[in-house]
Amino acid sequence: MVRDMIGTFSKGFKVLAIISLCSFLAACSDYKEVNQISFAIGVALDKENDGTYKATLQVVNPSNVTSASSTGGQGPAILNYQGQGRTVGEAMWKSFEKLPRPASFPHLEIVVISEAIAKEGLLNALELFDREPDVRLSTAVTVSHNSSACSILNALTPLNKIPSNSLISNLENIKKVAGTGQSLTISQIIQYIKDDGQEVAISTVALPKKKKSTGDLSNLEKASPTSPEIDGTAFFKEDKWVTWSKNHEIRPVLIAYNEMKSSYITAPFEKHKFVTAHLLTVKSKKYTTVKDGIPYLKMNVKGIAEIEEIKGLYTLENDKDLQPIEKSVEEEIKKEIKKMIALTQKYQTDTLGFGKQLSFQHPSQWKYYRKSWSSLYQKAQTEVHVDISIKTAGSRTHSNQFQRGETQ
Amino acid sequence: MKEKINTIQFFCLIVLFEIGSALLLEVGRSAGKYGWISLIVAGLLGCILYLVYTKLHTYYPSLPLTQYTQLIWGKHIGIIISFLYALYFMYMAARILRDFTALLLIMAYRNTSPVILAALMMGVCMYGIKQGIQTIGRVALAGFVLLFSILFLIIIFQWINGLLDVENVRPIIPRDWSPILHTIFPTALTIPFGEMIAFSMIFPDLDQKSKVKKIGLYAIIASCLFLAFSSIVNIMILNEDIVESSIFPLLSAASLVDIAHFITRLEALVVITLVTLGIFKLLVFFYCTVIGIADILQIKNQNKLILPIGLLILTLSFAIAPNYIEHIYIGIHKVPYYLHIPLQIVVPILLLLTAFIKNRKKHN
Repeated sequence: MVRDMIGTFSKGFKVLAIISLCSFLAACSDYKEVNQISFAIGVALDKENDGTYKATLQVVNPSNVTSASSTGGQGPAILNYQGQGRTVGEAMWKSFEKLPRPASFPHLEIVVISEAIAKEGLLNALELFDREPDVRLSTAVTVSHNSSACSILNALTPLNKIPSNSLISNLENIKKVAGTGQSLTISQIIQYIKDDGQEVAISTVALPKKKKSTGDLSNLEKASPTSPEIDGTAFFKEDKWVTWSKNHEIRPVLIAYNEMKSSYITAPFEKHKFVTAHLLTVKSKKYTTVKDGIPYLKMNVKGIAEIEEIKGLYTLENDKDLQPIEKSVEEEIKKEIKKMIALTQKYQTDTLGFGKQLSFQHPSQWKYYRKSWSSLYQKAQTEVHVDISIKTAGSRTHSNQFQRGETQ
Repeated sequence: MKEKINTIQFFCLIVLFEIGSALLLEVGRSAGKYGWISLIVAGLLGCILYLVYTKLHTYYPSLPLTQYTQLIWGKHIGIIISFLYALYFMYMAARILRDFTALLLIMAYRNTSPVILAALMMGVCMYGIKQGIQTIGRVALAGFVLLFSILFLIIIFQWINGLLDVENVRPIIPRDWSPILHTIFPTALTIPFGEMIAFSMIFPDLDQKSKVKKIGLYAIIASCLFLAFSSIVNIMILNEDIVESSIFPLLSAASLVDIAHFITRLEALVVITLVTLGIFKLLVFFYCTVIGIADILQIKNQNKLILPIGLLILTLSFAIAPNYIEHIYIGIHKVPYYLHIPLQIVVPILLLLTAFIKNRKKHN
């Protein structure tokens, strides 16, 4: 049958078939064995004093990743290579010179950018990663605070052998559990920066002060090794870092974008009493209007919480007893949001996206105020309503101390 | 007995042809987040253009475009116009080949010679045309089912992944119509909807000629809705700024899919899908060139032309532009004005007017 098929072709086609069969061989020219490439998993960008960039490329050392020590080697699971240059690209390329195998970027997980570069502008630093087709746009980006970006990638981490992976899971975990941090991807950051009427806030990573040979395997032999932690939030205006604040102050941003999955809040109520509540779902709605040149910003927050802990004597019997607790939690969230709005107003950066909201609600007003929005935002009047309803109080009613007080 | 294609195959071939490179280049993107509006309006205008082509076809139901031009405008002018059309189809085939070679080169095969990538695609097309229009039709039907299931699967993945952000397409009603109008005409109307002129070479191959108009209109509307839908999805995922600056927005959008760190890096799937779509578009233009030149030179056996024209298109695809950026620039700023508008809109309408007057005289 094959002979019949070939028979139907003209001579030209037979020649063509032979030529095209040869061309299949060319497809192998791009082929690399897994053991001939090194997987870049993280990149850290620093700025040196002389104005050049320093890139740290984190490459996986596959034989040391597996924990079974029979086959695994002794050293760390990663290797860091550094290069220096006038652009990010040049610095990266210089670091390639030191690699024993060509680097492959499809598995890049994280880009750590130093504070100095972030203050200069993120877009310049991210240009290379956005342009390179091998790098996924879903690669996470974080900013180092008070410590160099390379020291973050250098610190060996205990639970996850690869520092980059550990950092990523840390960022994901903090958002899922505590709601005080978030990991943004390259594409999200570029979207935030380029969009009018909203600014970006990025979780920052820092090494604890007492750093001592964190890049040593001995670091892992301690019960509490020094590993990078997420210590706060950097607020950006356009693509430049303008201010920084503590960890939980990113919470209003997550609430404003309805990104909050879970969080814990501790609020004082009555006298010397505290309640720790677990926020389960928090949803918000923003409203923006401009009247006589002054923007009015309104944010309505609704949420469900459960009581985790009550410190101090307290009877918890009916709905009435819940009221002061709910109120104190509401006040605490309100305070947090107001504080953050005040901070961003000070730096004229509309992190919560009220400008964007104006463009949805009053497009004609937005067209008019778009150019002067950041200075207008500074003068804005804010109004925050929070409505938290407590659904459950865990597995007990009264607080422990109260019962003991009664029996005595 | 000439080979024929049936209506379903015809429908699939049109949809694959229309979507082909329009999906790759994200035609409506110069209108920002309103790309979908410009695509839908351009699609409706494209239907009107299609009616012009089918009306011409009803006057000469068994002849392709390159033959009835000679009947309408006389032997000498007609043959020049026919030759121009044949060259136009050849140039378009070369453009499509270049587009998809660049896609493969940028996204997958960095170190492979572009000649080999292009030659492999061209080889597939030469084989397809050697097999004839009936085979192309059958493959189109199979390809339609396969490619659309992949495209929808990717959109479902993006949806499950929570990448679709409705806020990015708001506000829905545009305030500034000028970029939208500019996108509709000439860009979106001519690529892909005006390119339906190529099908006036294929109309005689359809088995039920009475259905040419109906099936074609359905196919154009279906493809315009799909393009608009895909444009909205991409804007939702990437936001208009990234869509405008990205070289292949569809791929950037697919690269963001990450379901439980397991279903990731769908670009490879998208590249395969897009290249397959591109091959259908290339097939249609190539086929039109072959039958057009066979008509003009009055060559009975079309198969003799496949190899030389194929190699010519292959060479042309590298000669038309020094680099990909220039290629795209020519495609957006030059081709619509100097090629698409005259050959897709002006000439067919003039032909129709002449044919209309001629036929009325005959009736009188």
